[in-house]
Amino acid sequence: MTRLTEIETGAMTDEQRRFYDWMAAGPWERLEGPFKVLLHSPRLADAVNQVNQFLRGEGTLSKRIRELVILINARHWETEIEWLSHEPQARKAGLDDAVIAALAQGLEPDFRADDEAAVHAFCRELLETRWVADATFARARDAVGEEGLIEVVCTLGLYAMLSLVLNAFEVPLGPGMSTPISERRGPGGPR
Amino acid sequence: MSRLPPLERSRLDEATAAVFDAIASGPRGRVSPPYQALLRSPALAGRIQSLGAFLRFESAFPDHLREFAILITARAWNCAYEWHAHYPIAIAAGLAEAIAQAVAEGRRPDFADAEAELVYDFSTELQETRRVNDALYGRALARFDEAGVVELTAINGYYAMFAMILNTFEIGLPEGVADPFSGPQITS
Repeated sequence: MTRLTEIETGAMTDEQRRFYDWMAAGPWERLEGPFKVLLHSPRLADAVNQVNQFLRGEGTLSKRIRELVILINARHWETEIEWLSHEPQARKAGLDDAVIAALAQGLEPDFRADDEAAVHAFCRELLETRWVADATFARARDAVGEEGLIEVVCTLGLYAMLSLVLNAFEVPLGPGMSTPISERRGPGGPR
Repeated sequence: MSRLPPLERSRLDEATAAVFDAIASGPRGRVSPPYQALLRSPALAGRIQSLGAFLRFESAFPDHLREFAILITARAWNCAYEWHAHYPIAIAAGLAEAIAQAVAEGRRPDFADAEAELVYDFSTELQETRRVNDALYGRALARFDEAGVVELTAINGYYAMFAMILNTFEIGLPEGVADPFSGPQITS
């Protein structure tokens, strides 16, 4: 039993149809994951997409760091569909397999890149304690810059929103997606 | 003391000044400290403020329930600034003070309003367990329909993002304002 009611193109309002057509014309050629849910509120879908487009293509962060943040977020919120759709992108962006495997298991990765270690420590501390210590903050800011750190926080925040949407509506895994992260639980995972 | 110094309008470059002015002249009427932090990335700030403007000023989700969800999120993320900024808006929109006070103290409020109770149950369970159970999802859907549940969920997420920004840059309470929170803290 799925919670998500997908809106058929024939049943869309004009606003929904405009957003759907705009997304379908882009690289994904269809509505992905959270946007299937967000389409129920098409102006919200559009506003969320505008922020996401910036974070994915117009900011200063490297794809490698951005995808690291997205995986940390997906692991924190236990959002399997988000993890599974971003794991290949993270790998392609240059994140080590060993780092990805450790993140999936909730273990502390053995980072070879200092910027990854700094951003990971920052994100985990913020998610787990709601705060970051001076040293953690300074290390992350020095690694990615002030503007980059804003983008890290906003990526963590926007993807938290997407995770909540995906989790609340129990959006099912897409075709070809398997090995959910729930089967790889380790220390640092959910209660 | 914030980890970022305030922005001075006169020292901004043209692109940043344009976003600064768009925020200041919109319904918010000023560039609040979290937006001053965001303006280090002006294009991102502009898009985030559009998303926030939809949730706050355009969505059909009732004002007092939106503000209640924001207060629950502020408490869940231990973000006193967010609480302080939204508490007067919540009360002006019709949220009972006793309900807000209970949330500030980490207690479940006594509800006279079934919709407020539903927003509390949904938001609290989502923030604490990352999920909502079937019965609760069913109650929310029956009361708010899909667009309303999507928007309630987005409010929880958007204001969690703002709490992350505020807490990262240590944007705290104005001088002389007491910490609104007491009781148990929610952490992961």
